[in-house]
Amino acid sequence: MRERWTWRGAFIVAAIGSAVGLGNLWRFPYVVYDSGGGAFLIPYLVALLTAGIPLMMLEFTLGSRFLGSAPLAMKRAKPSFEFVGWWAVLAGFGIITYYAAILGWSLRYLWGAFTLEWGADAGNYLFDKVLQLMPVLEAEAYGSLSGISTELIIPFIIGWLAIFLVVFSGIRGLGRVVMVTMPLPFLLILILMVRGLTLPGAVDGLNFYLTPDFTALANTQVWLAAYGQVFFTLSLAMGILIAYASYLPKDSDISNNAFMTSFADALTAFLGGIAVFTTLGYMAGQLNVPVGEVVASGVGLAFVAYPEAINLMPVAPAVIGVIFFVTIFTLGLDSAFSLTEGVVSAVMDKFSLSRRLAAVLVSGLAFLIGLIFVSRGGLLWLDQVDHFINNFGLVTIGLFTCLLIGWGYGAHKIRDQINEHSEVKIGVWFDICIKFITPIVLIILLVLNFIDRIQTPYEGYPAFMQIVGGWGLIAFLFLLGIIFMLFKGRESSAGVDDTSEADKKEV
Amino acid sequence: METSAVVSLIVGLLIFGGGFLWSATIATRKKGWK
Repeated sequence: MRERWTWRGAFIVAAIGSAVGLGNLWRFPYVVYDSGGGAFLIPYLVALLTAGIPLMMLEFTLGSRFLGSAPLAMKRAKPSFEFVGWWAVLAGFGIITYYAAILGWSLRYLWGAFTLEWGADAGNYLFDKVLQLMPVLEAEAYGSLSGISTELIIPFIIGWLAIFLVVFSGIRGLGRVVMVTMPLPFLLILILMVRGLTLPGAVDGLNFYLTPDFTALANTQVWLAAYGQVFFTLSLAMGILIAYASYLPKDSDISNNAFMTSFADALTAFLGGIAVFTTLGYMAGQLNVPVGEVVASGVGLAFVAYPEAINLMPVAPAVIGVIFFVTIFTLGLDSAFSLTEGVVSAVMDKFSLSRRLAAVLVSGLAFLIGLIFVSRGGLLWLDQVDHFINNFGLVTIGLFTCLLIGWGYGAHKIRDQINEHSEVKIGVWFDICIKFITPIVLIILLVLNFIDRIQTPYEGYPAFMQIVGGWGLIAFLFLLGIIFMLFKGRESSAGVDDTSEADKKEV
Repeated sequence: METSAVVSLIVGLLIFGGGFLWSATIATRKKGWK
């Protein structure tokens, strides 16, 4: 008997928690600023409606219709499709190995925030004290692990304990925990936003963030950035949404669930941008430099620029520091639960393992591999692996999902299944998005990324890093997916209901 | 604050916040949250 969410709200909150992650705070605002400011809202909305929401509906339908994790759901759609489900799960597994390391960083920073431990030079604090990367860089020993960072190992273990205990407790336990860990960062972002808006210089930051440059709309790169951001932010192609939806009842309102999840994700990112840019505007004012000089994204924003801005806060900087790193930690925590759950559910389905054993095996293996990313040279590996899994792994998986389900299984069948129980009925536009628009965009992204990487090695890292943490890793994951498909598991066929109206029409 | 930035702010809140409220309202009104 498959587990079930205790109520619909738990599923919605868990799905939103999965989609809303670190990227909402440290990637989206920068992409907006860098891609036409307020004008970027147009391509972003178009990408959300033509790629993000349709693909999310597709994944929700696969899960709730076929009652299985990504590999099992794909297999039940058509046995030869199982490998794509495994690709998604394996990519999710790869991501959680380093995502948990970033959770460890944020916990370490949270500890340091009580005393503003990073001091005036937050960059040095990150690279030298926390990551202990400087000896690796000074020796130009790129790719060398050089031992575990003594500052990170305990936070890393604490982070993994939290992830493990929640996944171990099952879907009901996860449903209860996300009721706290999803709304909490949203509320904290609101607090940071209000704090930011009340600082002098906030307006300068907002002008930088949102002043529209409509000429950017003529730039293809801006549209691709919008599709890329939508694709990466919604937890697509990682097997997560299929696994979560497999715990839903069959009569779930798929279209409404997808709209709610997508818009909540976009709203959080938009408000996160206000929180970030008002603070950066203030920081620029205090330093007497243009806002453009303090703008950052990713690790540089969360662990260097923002801490330095916190130093300059007029009132209770330590409180703002604690709030910010609790936000970062809880933003990542829900996503970490979902990534692990996607893998655990696939292992349970394939090998008929109990949840507890699957949780121990998956978390244990991911923890051991993750030690690479809390090593002294771990940041470089994290950067390398993240780039390849996102830009080649996930994009390829999304492409195959669209092509196989859209053309091989039938986008119209998915649409009929969505419309069976959804209040907002989906038209033929859904088929067009899944069969044409999304695949075309993903192919363009894939080809451009490929050309880019062939011309220049990522970040100039040495060849063996490009192979081991890049091309070789992707090839290995894809090969492993095919091996898992060929391996005859022990899953039962129970739980599939072949009596939906959509299927009856096909007979 | 520049007028165009204010407009972008309002439009962003209307699209994303409005989209979320619209879908949450449908959920509450029709199938409910159970």
